[in-house]
Amino acid sequence: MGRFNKSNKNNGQENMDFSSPENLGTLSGNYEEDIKWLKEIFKDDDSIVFRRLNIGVDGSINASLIFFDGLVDSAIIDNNIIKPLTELEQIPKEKSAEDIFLSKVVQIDSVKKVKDLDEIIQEITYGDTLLVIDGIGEGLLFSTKNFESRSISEPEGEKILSGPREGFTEVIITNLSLVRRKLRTNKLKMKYFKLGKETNTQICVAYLDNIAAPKTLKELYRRLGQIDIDGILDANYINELIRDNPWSPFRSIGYTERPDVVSAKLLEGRIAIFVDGTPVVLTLPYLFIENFQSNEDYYLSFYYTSFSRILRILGFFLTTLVPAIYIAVTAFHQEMLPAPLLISVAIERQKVPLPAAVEAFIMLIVFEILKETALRMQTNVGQALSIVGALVLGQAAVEANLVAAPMIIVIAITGITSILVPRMNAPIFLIRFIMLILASFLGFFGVTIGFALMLTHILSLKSFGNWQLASASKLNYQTIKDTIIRGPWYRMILRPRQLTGNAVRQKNTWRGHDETYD
Amino acid sequence: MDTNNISSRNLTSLLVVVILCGSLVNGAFTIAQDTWIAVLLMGILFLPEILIYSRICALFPGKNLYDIIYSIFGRTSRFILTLLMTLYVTVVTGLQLRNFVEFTAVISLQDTPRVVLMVLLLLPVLYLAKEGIQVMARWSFIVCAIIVLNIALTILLSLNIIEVSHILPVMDHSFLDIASNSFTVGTITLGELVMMMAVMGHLNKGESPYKVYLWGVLVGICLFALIILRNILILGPDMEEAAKFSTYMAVRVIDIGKFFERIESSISFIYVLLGITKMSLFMLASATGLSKIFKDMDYRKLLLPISVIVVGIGTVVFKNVFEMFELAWVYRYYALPFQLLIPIIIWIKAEIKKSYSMKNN
Amino acid sequence: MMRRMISFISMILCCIFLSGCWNYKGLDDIDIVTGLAIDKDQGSDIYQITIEIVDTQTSGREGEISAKYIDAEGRTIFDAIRNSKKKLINKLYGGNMQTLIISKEIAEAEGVSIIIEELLRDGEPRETISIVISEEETAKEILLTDGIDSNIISYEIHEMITEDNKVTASTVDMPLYQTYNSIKGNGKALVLPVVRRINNINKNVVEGNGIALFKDDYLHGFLSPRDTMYYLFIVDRVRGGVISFPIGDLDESISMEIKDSKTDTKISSNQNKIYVDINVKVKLNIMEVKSQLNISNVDERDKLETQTEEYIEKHITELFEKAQSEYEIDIFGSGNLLYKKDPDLWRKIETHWDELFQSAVIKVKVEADIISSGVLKNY
Repeated sequence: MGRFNKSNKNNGQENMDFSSPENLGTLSGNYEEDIKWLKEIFKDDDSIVFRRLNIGVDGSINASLIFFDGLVDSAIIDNNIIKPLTELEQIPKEKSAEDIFLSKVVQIDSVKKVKDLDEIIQEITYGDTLLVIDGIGEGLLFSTKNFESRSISEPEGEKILSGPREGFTEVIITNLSLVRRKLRTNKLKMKYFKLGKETNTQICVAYLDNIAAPKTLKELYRRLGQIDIDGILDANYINELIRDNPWSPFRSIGYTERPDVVSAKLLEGRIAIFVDGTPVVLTLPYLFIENFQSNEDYYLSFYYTSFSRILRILGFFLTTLVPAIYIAVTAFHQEMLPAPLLISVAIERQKVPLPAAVEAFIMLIVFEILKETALRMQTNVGQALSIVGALVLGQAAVEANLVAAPMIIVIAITGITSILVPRMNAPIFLIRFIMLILASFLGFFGVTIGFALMLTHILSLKSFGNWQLASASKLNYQTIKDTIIRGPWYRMILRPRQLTGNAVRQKNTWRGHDETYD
Repeated sequence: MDTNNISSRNLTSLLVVVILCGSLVNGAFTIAQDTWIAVLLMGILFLPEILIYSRICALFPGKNLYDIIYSIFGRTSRFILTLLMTLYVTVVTGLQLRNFVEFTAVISLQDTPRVVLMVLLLLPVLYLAKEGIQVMARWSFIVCAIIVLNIALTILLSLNIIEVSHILPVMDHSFLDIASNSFTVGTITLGELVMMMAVMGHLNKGESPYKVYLWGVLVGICLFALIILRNILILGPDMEEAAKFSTYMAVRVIDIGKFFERIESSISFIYVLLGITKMSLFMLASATGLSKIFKDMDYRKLLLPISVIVVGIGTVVFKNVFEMFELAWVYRYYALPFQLLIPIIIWIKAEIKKSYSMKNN
Repeated sequence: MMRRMISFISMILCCIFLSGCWNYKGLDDIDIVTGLAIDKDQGSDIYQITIEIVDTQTSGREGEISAKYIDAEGRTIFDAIRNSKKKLINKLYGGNMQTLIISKEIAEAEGVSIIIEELLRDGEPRETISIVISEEETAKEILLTDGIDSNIISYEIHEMITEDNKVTASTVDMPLYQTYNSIKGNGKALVLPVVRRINNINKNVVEGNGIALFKDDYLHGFLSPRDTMYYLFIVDRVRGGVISFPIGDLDESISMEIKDSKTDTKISSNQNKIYVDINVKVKLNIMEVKSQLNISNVDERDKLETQTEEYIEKHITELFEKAQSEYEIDIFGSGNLLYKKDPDLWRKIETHWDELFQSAVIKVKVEADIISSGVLKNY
């Protein structure tokens, strides 16, 4: 087995709650005062319901149910709480009366005793119901969550040709259930946290006990512990607060919206962070090659997907370098073009007023504008406008001699190849821009300098203690079988070396040659 | 930096890259068709010197050059020695910077002032040096792979225009001429490996510096000889002799199927990458030495001042390109004390100290 | 920290912005030079050059690329090229130039070495440009002729010359760097292709016409296209071509296509006498046989081979003797072979190599193999 075989128990702090509570105190035990105090806390809030009850057949004991309208399942409240309580024959008078209430009377699957007001607030704002009974010091929390949420559908940004089409939704419990159904083992651990002072968002750290690195977990808990922000609305908030390389445009923590991707990454020794309220799940540590990987690679034939992967890497280079190289070649190093090509380009450039570099800048910005409008506009206007924008405008601009035709082709190549690697929008845009500036001033020398800077930057990226591009110094089969190409599944015997120390993934798989058959 | 887990493969490729940087000044050779012999001879002539370097590193595993000097010399001598080596490596960085900038300027950017090119070339150098030896080691592996591919590609593509008879007559020049040439270029390519001692301390625990140095020199010299051989075979001895940068000119002639013509820009791309690697290594060595003098200051803070000095040196070191090739013939005398004398002194003192401590134990 | 960052970045930006981009040559600022023709005015010692540039204004999108011509004068070639700027708005760009035409007067009077030095030193023109000698009065006439396939005559001449040795073996291709090697090499001899103007269906076009022979770098004589083939046999530069000759007693010629040829030349010296030993192995296709030869018969083919061999041998020997007696210089560069074999001996006899060459003894052996005869067995 791998290096990291020890169990991960008792490895973080005991208290996993990282939210900063306001310390409102606890329930006092006095029924009237508690109800008054609760009404005071939630004053001016009309969506909360205080339902008075009288427990027992004779209706002698006062009780109140407190819940938020719309978040709870009224059927459960009616049938499983109010009904048994009102039909209670004998009212227990022992010390641990609440336990009897909890275990015998109320028929709900998840119950809890509470005293702390912060906890009460956090729970009932999520759909739980609070029961305060006169004479019993603690409140009782029942899980009655029932709110509307989006149904499970394929995420827009990660569509594939063949394979599972489930995608995460905004409810963390559903998301966890999707992953739990794929990794049916007790080694899948899920630890809950709460982050955000006002939002108290629930997040969950999931990992496989036997292969995730304890060092990484410890570091993750430490970083989560020092988050001090008022609200977490999306996974990206957490991403930017705990990532390495804060100033780098490249990602240091992966994100995905698909449960099969998360499961695969967990199986490779990574750690996943689920955030309530967003379907995006973070995975860490993140290696540079993950920018170019897609889960579809494993569902289709390995010949085709190896080729696709190489195409994506090529696409990344093309989209960052093509405008810069075009400028460098046509303005500084014309001898690189064969004569007929040079003459054609020169003829086209004769008619245009602006120098090539300026034109390239303007066209890049125009392209970005077009892309942005395509994203934001309503669909019925969208189709017509994109055709008008892209084709007709381009054509008209060339005919009116405002833009040279080769420039349109260059920008089209740049734009199309940038769609091959959708996760890298941020670095691509920045690198492209810098390369273009360098190329405009110094030709190929500038491109070389830009390339050197980019390569150094990528080589210096780290993610939770691992180099993002460590395999740059080794070239054996283990390193390339799942990076540049995708080797066939029966050859994926070991897990990634960096994350798990080559933990064995499979042995003894039938390899296509059975003696008994031939 | 206290890392010592860099694999020998990466350090070897760093060495190969440093050696191949010397192929930029192959205009300094004065023997036409026997240049490749001079290159191979260079490997043999400088072997003892390389062995001295490896022995010093092997005696003190995990320590770099300055630590070694500090541990075996007294107060004044170690200050002087460290200062000398630091000054030497700074001057060499300035020289290299100017070399590479001249190459780029002569080939493509004739009108740009040299200073601008120097400052801009220093940008990636500084960044790489700031990131440290770990990143530099992995970077050099990539650059080494690129240049090996490029050499293989250009040789394959040139097979239809080479004439093997271009290297005849062999040994037309006197042995003294050839030896003198190999000594000159050797001080530029192999002698500067003395600064590799400054980073050898980061080698993996189990690996031997001998392996790194000897493999690196072997591969580097072979590749260098291949490059020279290819140039001679393509261009012919007279053209190769007359050209300032024969690698560039040789690749310009390659023309296959109207598709693989005009690939010489890949050469300038590669040379710039090689130059960046060598300069950032030397910058790192210089900053480490200087930080040692200033009582273990963080070397990153010293990088920027050193780079300003380096640009200054680069501007004044020679007036024009003629002096660039003539300088090679003078440089060998200047470099001798730093490349040979000081290491020998260190070696002898280290051996004495080692046998002394062995006797005591 | 912030201040340092800002000052650092502003330093970099100053470098970039305050200085502008010097080497930026936008495509609308340059004129692409495709060919150069050099003449000299005999009386006044001034070089007159003609530059052919691509006309990007009038070239339409249909692919009809045309060329413009510029005249210029100057004391040296470089001077003349720069002087042409007085007539142009754009800068000249020579990176895609492909042909250089030198008039035979200059080649005779001054030698070509001066001219190619300028082109080699200037980094822009590529080392692969073809150099040709014009057989007409001036080099300018050649440049001003219209091409058959395109309007840019320089590209046509370049293509003509480079493809020639595979097709007709009637001229030789000497790119710039090989010209330099031939001039500077020990014992090497320079030859350059020759072009002339000829009438083709009421239009004047350019045709390759053999090679020009040089003594050092001065023009010495010409070789006809027919003789050039045998010249190429001797220096091992035949890659194709046609051999046509009348066979035996019949009065008709047959044509054989050369598929491949390899020549081994060995040189040896023995008491002030040079022995040159030439072995040619040539592979042929029978292309045109008018008579009643039954070429599927082995004996007939053998006879044909022998006849071809004799024919080639005879002509090679004739050419060699012609070089010895008529031209009196070593036009084959055989001195270089001696140099490569024995440099010390070469250095001794270098100065009177030409005399030694004139009394050299040649031995030629040709081996011809008929490997195919088109798609017909027999006619």
